[in-house]
Amino acid sequence: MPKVLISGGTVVDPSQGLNGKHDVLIEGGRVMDIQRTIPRGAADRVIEAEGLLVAPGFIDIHTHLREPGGGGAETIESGSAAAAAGGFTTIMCMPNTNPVCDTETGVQYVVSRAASVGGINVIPVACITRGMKGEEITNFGKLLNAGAGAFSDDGRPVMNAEIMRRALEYTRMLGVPIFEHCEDMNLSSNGVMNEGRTSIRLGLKGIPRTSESTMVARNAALAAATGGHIHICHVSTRESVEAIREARRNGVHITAEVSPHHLTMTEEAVIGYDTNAKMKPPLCEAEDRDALIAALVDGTLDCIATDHAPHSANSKENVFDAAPFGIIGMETSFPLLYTEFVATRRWSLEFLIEKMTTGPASVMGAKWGSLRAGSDADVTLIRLGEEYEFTRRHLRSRSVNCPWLGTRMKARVAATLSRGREAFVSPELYPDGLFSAPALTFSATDAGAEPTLKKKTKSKKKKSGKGRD
Amino acid sequence: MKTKAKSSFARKDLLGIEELGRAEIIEILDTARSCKEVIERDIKSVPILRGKTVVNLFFENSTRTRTSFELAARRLSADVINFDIATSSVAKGEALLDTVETIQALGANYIVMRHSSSGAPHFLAPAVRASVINAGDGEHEHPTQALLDAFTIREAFGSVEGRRVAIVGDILHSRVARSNIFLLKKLGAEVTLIGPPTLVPNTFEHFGVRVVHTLKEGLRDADVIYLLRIQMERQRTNLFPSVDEYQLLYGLTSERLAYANPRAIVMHPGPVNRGVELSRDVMAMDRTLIAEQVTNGVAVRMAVFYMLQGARENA
Repeated sequence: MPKVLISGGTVVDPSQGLNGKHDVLIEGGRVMDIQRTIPRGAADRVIEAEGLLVAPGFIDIHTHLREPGGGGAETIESGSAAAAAGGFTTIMCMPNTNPVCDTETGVQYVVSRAASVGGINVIPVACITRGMKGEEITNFGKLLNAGAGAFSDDGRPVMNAEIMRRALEYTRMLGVPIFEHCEDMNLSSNGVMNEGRTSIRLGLKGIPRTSESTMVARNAALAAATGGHIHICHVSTRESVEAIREARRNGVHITAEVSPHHLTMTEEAVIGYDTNAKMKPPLCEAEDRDALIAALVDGTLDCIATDHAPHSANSKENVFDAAPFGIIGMETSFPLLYTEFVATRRWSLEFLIEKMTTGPASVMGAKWGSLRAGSDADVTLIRLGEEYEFTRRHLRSRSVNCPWLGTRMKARVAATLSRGREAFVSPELYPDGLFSAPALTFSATDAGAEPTLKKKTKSKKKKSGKGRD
Repeated sequence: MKTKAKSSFARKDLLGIEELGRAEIIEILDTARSCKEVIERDIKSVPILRGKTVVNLFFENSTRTRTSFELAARRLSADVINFDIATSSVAKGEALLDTVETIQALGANYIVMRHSSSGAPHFLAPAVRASVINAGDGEHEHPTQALLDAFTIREAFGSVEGRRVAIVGDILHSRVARSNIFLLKKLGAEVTLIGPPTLVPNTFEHFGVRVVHTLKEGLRDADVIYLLRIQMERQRTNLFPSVDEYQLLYGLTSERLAYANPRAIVMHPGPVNRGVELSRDVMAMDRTLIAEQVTNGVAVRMAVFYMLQGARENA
């Protein structure tokens, strides 16, 4: 295994409180060493990271990859590529595929597809109930053994409180969370946006805010009673935030995520009937957005998750009430939030990275999201500060239902390594590939260069020799 | 009809009242007055739109509105084609865009469109060369209805400004109510909405109108009582308990008419549920102007065709 050195970058790793120039040495898919300086001679190949942010690969615990059954909008392969293009190295995908992911076979399919496309770490979320019908719980234990990371009936919330009670009670024993999309389907009915002055103005059916908040309160009560771990997906209203805060105060095992769009947009985006402003839960009011930001800052909300929801251009190119709910978000998540919150000095860079690494890892009780020696070499390199226009060519998703096309962004993902392997390389920032000529210059002057070169010739990878002659 | 030297109207489409300025509204209403003179003559047509094609594109049935637009177009000597398209909810947008090609090929100058989805004409308008006239989109707007209503109020009182207008009924689901609220506010009327909170949520107060729940309170000193048609199917979703109860609380009877200004007029966009929104005796009163509204509808729609035409030719 060749040794790779990420050289000269600024490492920000909240898991070990690092913020400063560090070199990172990788071998065999793991971080071998992280030091202020590591001699170039210690590596076979060098990734020049001068002027770049080096962060642990981001984690997105809420995505939709549409496979099986929805390959027109996304596949595990294209979704993995989209994740990597956004700097993500671990993602969890929701089970509302066709068929839904409620069997061991279904879970194994996702796991093996993800491994064979060779991108990033993809962990399936399996259904809470069989067929996502909200009637009978799935084989939680078997599904967990097959590779599921959590359980959810995302998009079809468990309306029957008794079923949710049993699911929480049972999964407590297994130590895995229930990810719940909190929505009272009777209240939201056929609503298409937040109910309020904008829905009234536009003549669109409203989804009342109580549709979410009553279910958050119910689920918190059930988690309190059972001791199970409830994770609230995509929190969108201030009342839900209050319910979560209250439950946390009372020691309930409750965690929660918030999406980039709920942190940055309001219902006013719907004016003009833009179907890329249509999602569930709907965009709410400025007061809600502000409450979500405050709750993320004070720790009531644990992490950022995109709810990446690809839909074909045909289905989104429609009148508002007929278009499907959801937008893609993995490619834009970090650039957008950096531009909105870090570049404007509202958040520290560490804070944003924390909410995209250790934050989601802690929801899962996992050790992901760290560059400590011995960790998986999941690394994201990012160019900060340079403004550019985010366009379709920055997307790797099969779908383009992205409200931020044409937006000026101030952060750009340069490269993503998943277990030491290239998962994404920006053609703009690394036009000649990740391992550039300077590696030769330095390693050639180094005493250890010659043996290294030999080793590399043996390696199967064509790229190893790049720039050497 | 004479072409005005100066026009503030420079629009390709009429999608809603919300985006119109006061001057534009006044100009349409003034033009409609000339149009009404035309339809009151023996020879009721003028050759202004000769050789032009109007396509009535109705994704939702409405014989009344479609006929009014058709008559208005014919009075201006346009050719009229009627498209009635039933569509499944899933294929709404697709059906719409598919139809565009056909209509472009037919050389339409105007598309008069009704659709069950709010925003459907806003979705279509940028994709076509023709002028799009919104003849009702979902629960959003019905701009020509509000214009003909304002025209009717002007005829009765001379102007809209300062008039007290009470709108009664299912405001929440009504495109007629929205367009009327926008227009009446722009022209300086005082607007009161009357109905149960399920049909008239207080959120409407954001639009600068008063929300009350009883006729007694809402009709006080009203100059105009505007009754909306109650959709019987709302009962099924528990927005009101029964037609009987609705009639009891919000039906306009001659006794209740006494709450209002003695000169108050009564309007309704039609079709009326007789004996529900208003009693038969109120229906028969001279001050009930439902038939005038229908006549004025033709005049106002002629004015809209005429002005969008002017805007296009000046462009």
